[in-house]
Amino acid sequence: VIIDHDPLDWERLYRQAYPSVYRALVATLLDADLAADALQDAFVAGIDRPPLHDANVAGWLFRVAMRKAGRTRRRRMLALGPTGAVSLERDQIAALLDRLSVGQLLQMLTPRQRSIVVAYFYLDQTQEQIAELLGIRRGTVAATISQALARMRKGEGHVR
Amino acid sequence: MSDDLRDLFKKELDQIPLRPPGTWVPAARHRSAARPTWRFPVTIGGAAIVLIAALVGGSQLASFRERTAAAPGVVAGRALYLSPSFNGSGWIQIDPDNLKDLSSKPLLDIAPSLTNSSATLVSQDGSTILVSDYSPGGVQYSIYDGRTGRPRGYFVPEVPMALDSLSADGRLALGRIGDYRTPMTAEKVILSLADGHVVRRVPPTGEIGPVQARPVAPDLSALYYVVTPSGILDIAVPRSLPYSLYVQSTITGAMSGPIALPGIAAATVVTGTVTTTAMLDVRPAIAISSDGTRLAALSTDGRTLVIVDTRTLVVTELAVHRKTSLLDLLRPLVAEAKTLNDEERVSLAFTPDGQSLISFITSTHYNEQLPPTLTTRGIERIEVATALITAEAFAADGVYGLTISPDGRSVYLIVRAKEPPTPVYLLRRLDAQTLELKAERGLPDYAELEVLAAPDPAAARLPVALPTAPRRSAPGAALGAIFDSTPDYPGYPWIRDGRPVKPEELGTSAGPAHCGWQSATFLTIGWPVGTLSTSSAESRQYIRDPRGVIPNRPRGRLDLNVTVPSDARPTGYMYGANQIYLSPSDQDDAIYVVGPTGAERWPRSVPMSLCQ
Repeated sequence: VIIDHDPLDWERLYRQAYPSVYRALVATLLDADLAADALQDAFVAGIDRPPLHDANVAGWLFRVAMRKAGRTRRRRMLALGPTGAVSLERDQIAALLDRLSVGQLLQMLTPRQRSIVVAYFYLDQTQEQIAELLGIRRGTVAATISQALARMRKGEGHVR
Repeated sequence: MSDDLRDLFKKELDQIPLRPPGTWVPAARHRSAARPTWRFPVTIGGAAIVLIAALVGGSQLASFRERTAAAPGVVAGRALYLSPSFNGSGWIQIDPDNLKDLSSKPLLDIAPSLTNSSATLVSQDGSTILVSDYSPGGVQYSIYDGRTGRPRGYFVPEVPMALDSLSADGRLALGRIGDYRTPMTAEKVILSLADGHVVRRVPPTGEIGPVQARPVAPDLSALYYVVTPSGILDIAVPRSLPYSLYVQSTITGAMSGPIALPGIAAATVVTGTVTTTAMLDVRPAIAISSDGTRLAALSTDGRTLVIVDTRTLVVTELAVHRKTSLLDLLRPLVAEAKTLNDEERVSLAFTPDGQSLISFITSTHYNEQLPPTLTTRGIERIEVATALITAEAFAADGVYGLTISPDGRSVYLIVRAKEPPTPVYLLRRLDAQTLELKAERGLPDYAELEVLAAPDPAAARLPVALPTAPRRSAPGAALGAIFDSTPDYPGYPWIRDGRPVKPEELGTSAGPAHCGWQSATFLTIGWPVGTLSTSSAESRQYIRDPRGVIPNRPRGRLDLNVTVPSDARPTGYMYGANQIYLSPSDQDDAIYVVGPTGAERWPRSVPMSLCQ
């Protein structure tokens, strides 16, 4: 199905995908504010240039939001980001992720591994889709998932 | 296994609470609403490098802790380091000429962190590296010896702060009180890096508009706010609005008035195709020289260069020009490419000697159906004194970072030569004089690669002085030091709106010596303010006569330590950090000279005092 350029239609698709993509971003970025901001940025990007097909809007949003988050995070690191109030929600979600076994597992992984694992296990993206979304080879996706599983099985982080 | 894990992921991650649906869609649904206030100009970031940091022991937060440095001198000189940020291995030393690996041993003795959320500041003399780790649980600052890479300890500020800058000698840190969300105009603190103590608080600037860039003097004595036109992002129509500069002394907290930067503007333009138009905000590039004496702003079209002498605040506007242009042949291509862009970034960096600027413009294409592509429109070397382009090059590859070697011989670029799905990253070395490619090497698949050029030992000889505390006992001392020895006519060079003014508009000069009045200062100002006077009827005279050498005393009293009336307003005239104020309630009787540490009231002389 070709998406037309009606903003309302895009908003409908966006809202349908929002819950899963937002949670996937939180689990990947470990930062609710960053996830929400990045997803809004992705929505705005979609207004200007929506995806051609609506078959994988969640994957498209995840990819675009991840890229937007990277830019936002770099701005934050440089302490030059946009201003706003401090969110208490971030601490609450961090506590939740600490409590969840999946959250604990994810925190052992690198950001890149997290993005692949979450896209694969939570957003139901295929390895081919993840490869396309992240601009990497399918073999890299498979290897990353395998490494991440092994790491999670052993309960070790990537620190050593 | 996979299905079980999928179920587990869904069961658990679905517990993450959602925000109210009303917040899912941004209020302002245009692209520019999400724009940052400032794109990181490479010039200031020559030392600010993103890399993985780690928590080097989480419990010893009590205070700074000395450790013994080993093998000093590893870094000093012409060493060059690469930072692959996603594996946390720190900087790897490479040959500054042929770019090959010299050592696999990382510069920083740190372990990778759980999150890619750290930032690094390097002091200008290379002595100090400060890594800020923003991992969940709170910010932790780790200090490393820049010459050995060994950890020195932790920086524990007395107040919560977002660290922005280090002094050139690595002894002081400047940050905003609060966190990274705190506005650039908010209250700031200067702290001693050794013990985290607050050395000074810098008051908020007040309302000056959105800040695009805020360079800082190498000794942290002054802040330079380059202010964007207010609200440029809020109106979805093409427009262009002028920029201005505000200067704040961190010693006194005093703010200058707005200093216009002629020819420097932010613009909003329409880009894209007929069906997918987008608003594009384009901004000028800002740079400060390594000695802090000059600030440069390059217009978005690259045609106007403005240089501000930070000592006098005199603004010089120059037309960027070239003798011959390689880029002229390519401009049609550039114009075509620009219609598809949704972001444009102009970056600017002074060469270490301050005589030239290296500028590059990267136009970013965002087509969400395809991986984004970056196109660097051009790299130029611009002579500061004349604005002549002495070298330029065109590169089709997207530039991710630019660093100039401390000796000024080389420019290092990180480029993505091939786009995903099989991206190819390259490090290139250009001759800084000619911008010719001299060396190139491939890089791993890391998007965050940065370059650190370790400073030459000569850089340590920079005359960096620590800011001194305000002189509370003698608030008028600074003005006294200036006007107790005012030079003869034409006197001090005042400026207004960044431009020198003629003595007929405003002059301060010593009284005539042949009458024995040389200890007095005569201030003559065209009246109305801002006009050139051709006769005494078109001007007013105010006199500073602390020794009472002038027989016909001016009306009113000279006061060398006065509180400026609340209705007094700056006239816009500045000499260094000193300004002229007038109060509507007593401007017929007196004028106020306001300096960083105090203010004086000079009485008006009616009729004018003339030496016969």
